[in-house]
Amino acid sequence: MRKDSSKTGFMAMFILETLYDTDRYGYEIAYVLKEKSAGYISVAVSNLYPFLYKMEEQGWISSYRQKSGFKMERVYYHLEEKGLLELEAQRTEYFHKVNAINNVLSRSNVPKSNEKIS
Amino acid sequence: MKNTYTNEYYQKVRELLPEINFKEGRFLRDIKKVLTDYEKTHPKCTYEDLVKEFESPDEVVYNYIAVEGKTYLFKVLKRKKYGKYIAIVIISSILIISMLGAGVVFKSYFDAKRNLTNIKRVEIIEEGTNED
Repeated sequence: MRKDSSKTGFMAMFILETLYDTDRYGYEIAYVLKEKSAGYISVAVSNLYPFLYKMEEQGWISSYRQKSGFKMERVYYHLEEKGLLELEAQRTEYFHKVNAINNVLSRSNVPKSNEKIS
Repeated sequence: MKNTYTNEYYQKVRELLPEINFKEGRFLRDIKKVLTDYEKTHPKCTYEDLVKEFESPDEVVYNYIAVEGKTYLFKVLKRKKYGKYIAIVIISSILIISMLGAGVVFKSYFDAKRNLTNIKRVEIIEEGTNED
């Protein structure tokens, strides 16, 4: 099976985006990503934790425990100010990249092979 | 974890991790929690179900190492390499110290034995009393 490196490359941005509006726990983050992307971005929750630890280490997010039901405790993740700034930076960079890629791939303004490039 | 497959899955992840420190311990706790939660909703799950839901243990560990980055891997390898040297040094120093200790004990034993054989027994017997 081919690994989609673009998904892992953007994972931090995806996680930060899911935490933008509310605090969420691991499973919820994976579920929201899958729902929002119509199943395209499907991350196993086991693979989400290393990203969450790294982001917590960098101060982008913080975590806290909350009881949910009998004998159940969930770790919720919260987007911090630093994370918000990082998210905005990553979003801007992403849209610049997409624009650049679109320009490269668009065929309307490509000079024809017999035209001389001045 | 009651299900043998969830237990097997967890053990495989644990075995594949290059080392288990504070961070890996937290990761293992989270994995265990996720597996326990899954087990509650899927009590008859098989190993294949677990792989389908969480990916294979080697994928999970590979992803963990990939996210941690190159420096993590180099640090682990360095620690393992130096750990081996440290173990060799400790074991050899224990052996040398115990051999020296045994030597000292044997030496004092033989010294004591030699001293015992050199002891001369002197008996003083008084023969009667002096009468003027």
